[in-house]
Amino acid sequence: MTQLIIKFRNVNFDPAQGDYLQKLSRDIKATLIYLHPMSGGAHVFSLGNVSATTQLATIIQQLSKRPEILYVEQDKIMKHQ
Amino acid sequence: MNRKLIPGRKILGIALFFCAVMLQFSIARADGPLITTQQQIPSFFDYTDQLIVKYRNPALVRTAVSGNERPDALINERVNMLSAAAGVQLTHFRFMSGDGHVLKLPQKMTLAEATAVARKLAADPSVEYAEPDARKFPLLTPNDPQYANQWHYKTWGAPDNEPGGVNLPGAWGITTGSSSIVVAVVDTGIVAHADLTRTLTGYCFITDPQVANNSSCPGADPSDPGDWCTAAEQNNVNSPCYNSGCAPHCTTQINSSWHGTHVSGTIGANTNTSTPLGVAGINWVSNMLPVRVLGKGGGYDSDIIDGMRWAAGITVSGVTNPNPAKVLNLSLGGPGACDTTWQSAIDDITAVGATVVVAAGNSNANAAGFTPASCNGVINVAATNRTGGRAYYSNYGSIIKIAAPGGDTTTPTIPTNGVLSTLNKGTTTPLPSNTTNDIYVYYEGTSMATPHVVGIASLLLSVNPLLLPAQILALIQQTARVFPGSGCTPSTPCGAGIIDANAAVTLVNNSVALSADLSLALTSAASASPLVVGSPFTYQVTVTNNDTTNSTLATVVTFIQSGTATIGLASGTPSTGTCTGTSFVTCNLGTLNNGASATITFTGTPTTTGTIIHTASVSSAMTDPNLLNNSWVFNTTAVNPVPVISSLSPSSAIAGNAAFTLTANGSNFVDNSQVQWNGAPRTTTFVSFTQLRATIPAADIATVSTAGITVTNPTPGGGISNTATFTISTPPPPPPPPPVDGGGGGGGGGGCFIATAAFGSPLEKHVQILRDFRDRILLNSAAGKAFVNFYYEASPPIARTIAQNEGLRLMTRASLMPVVGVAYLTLLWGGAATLFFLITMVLIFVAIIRTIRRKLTRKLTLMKPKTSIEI
Repeated sequence: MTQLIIKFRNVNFDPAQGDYLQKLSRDIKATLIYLHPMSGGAHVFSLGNVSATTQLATIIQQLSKRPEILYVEQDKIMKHQ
Repeated sequence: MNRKLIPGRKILGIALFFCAVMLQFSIARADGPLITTQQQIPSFFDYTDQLIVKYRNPALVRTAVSGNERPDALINERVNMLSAAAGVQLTHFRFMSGDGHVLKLPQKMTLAEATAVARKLAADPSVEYAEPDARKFPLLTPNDPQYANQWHYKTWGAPDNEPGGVNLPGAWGITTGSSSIVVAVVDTGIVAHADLTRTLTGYCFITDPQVANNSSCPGADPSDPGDWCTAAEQNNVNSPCYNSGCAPHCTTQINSSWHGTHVSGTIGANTNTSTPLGVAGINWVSNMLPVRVLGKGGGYDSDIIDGMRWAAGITVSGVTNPNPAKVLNLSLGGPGACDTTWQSAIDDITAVGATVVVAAGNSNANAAGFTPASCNGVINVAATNRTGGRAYYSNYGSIIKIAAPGGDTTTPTIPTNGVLSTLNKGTTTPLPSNTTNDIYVYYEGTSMATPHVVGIASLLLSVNPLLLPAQILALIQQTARVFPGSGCTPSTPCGAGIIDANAAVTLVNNSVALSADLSLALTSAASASPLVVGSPFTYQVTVTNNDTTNSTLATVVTFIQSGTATIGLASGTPSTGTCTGTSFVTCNLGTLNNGASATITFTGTPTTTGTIIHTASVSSAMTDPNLLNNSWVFNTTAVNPVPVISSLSPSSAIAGNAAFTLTANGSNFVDNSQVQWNGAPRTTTFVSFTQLRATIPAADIATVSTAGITVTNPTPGGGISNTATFTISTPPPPPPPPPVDGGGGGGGGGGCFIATAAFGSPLEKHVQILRDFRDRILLNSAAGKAFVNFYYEASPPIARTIAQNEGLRLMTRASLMPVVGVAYLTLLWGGAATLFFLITMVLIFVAIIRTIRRKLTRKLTLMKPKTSIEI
């Protein structure tokens, strides 16, 4: 499952409230599901099975341009070495 | 004792490094470690407070050696004379075998200093020889039965002669760990094992149930349920086990790795106990904190980072860690350079004084392309093999800090050339801990190299718990050993060398025994208070070694923001050494000689409002007798500035145009600045401190007027900018028809009214062809000009009628198509087609007029009342 880490400029902003996620999903033409907050003031979202290719890069680029978002990064998988 | 101070004489400064030769001895104990000291260790920063002197005069020698025998007046007189010659107050301590005398120095001195004093004594004719009474430490060999198979811990020289070993026995002679130090293993969790009992209550931060493979995550259960992947799971694209390397034809199960258990054993397996068992660990005393973040298929960045912060003592999601770790082991990684989420977490963890040690990665590639190895502030570890060269799989690169044994079981295939540590016999779920299921296995990987560095770092902290991460790095790099094997080349560098536990621990042990008073003071502050968001602030501090004798080792200055504002774009510029970091800045000044100073200029920019509590602190590996003068705090707030607009783009628009994006250029913009249109807010995008973009709706420019554009910044601070004027103008009149009285071709400038009405736009391609035909063909002949004049007079009302009726437009387009074709061909070929075109146009024009008249006539006829027929 592809996940995103998003940090908002307003650290008090709750993306799970209201219809923000619906609007955001419409704008990027993909379904964003809120998973949980994480340390450092960011939030974790699921993008379902959007593959880590051009579509994901486009979504990240679109989200990064939004004025309320400080940064967006893929929540990557790490493996033991 | 008759101590006489030597007025006006000072001890000279000395060099730092001095080689000492260890004496050989061995003591075997029935139930303790086998102590074998057979090692020539270069002693860095070694110290002593005693000298050994032998006098030429037999009268100064006692036949009976007794540590309690008081020296007579003759001996005391001789000692005082030597003190005067050396410029140091010496004291007779005791007699020793071999007719020697042990004299006390007034304080601990480095061996180099003590040697300098000894040379002065040796110059006295009454002295046969004088030398420092150097200290020696035992080499400890643990009694664990499998220690013999752990080549990676052994001495690289005698007695073990393991070229790839990290030289632990000598380090163990100084310290085997401290119960006050906690080491976190951020990994797959841990399984019960009889050789792993010093584990604290950890936590599991895995939030994906498939990855967690149990129902207790997230929660206070770091036990490892197994991370095996069946063939079906590997073929399933929706499984975290999905294996693109063999899917959809994977057939072999990947057994559980028990990775966290293996790593934990290297760091802290039970060692040298009264019931010897299994393998040895590096730290025999400190406790380990298991933090589970990896499961089936690995683990998400978000879970790992939450686990890391928690391990360092930072509360996460309301969960507090009662046992903050001073060292974190991250034997994990993945492709991609370090991103903001990772770097900010490492900055937070380093700022609270915890050291993050990470694996370089196993891709035999440049570590700069992997996370977290490429993050600033970590100690990334490359792997070496048994010969002390780079392991075939290990990542490398200029960013690598240090190397340690990761083992190599495949080139050649010798399993015992791996790293031996604790494991569970289960292939899927863990089997109960007992003598059958608690096993020991050789693994290879940078995962195995990393806990060597973690374990040794924990030994350093056991000697000096005040060491900062930058100091730990400096000390292990300074004492690292040159690679005896191959593979670490200028094009594939592996860090400062192979970590040398004995050299590093000895150095820290010697350093902390010496003192040096460091102080830090503000030199200058160029910034006003309060600070303004978006505007950099600068201050300079001076660090001084106030000691008259000792130089400082691993001198580090840190700049930490603990207020609520965010500081970014930070940097430090030192007069000596280097600074790193763009948020949390660390400066390594190296060695500061006694009496010397260094300056550092810090520059940072508040990017959000809030409080600023910016602390600059200095410390070294030495003991500082006065910690009150080691810090300076810049205490202020950051507020929003008043914005300034310098220009608008565009600065005007035509009334009736569509919505558009307005760019405001200026200064002092912040991320929640807002553009206002005649005082009303508009949706604003923060581009930078000097540019904003706003969406202006069509309604704002519907009518001719001017608008006042301002930008507002919110509190604290903030305010309204100057007003910039935006002009909404009248639409320009349509251009007049082109002159046709002999002015020639080349573009009359006017429109093709009928064609435009039919095709919908003057820019439509068919209209463009007709216009080109007019300009290049018709206007070049008298007949053509005459036709154009007639056309401009007669066609506008016809064009208006056509434009209002879709049917007429369609018919006109159809009618014009052959004309367009002829015109096109004429433009291509020229000539007689012109005439044909004129005749054709006239006929069509007449036909259109007739059609319109017929339609109008029929309409009028239908409207007339019917004539009644009288019967």
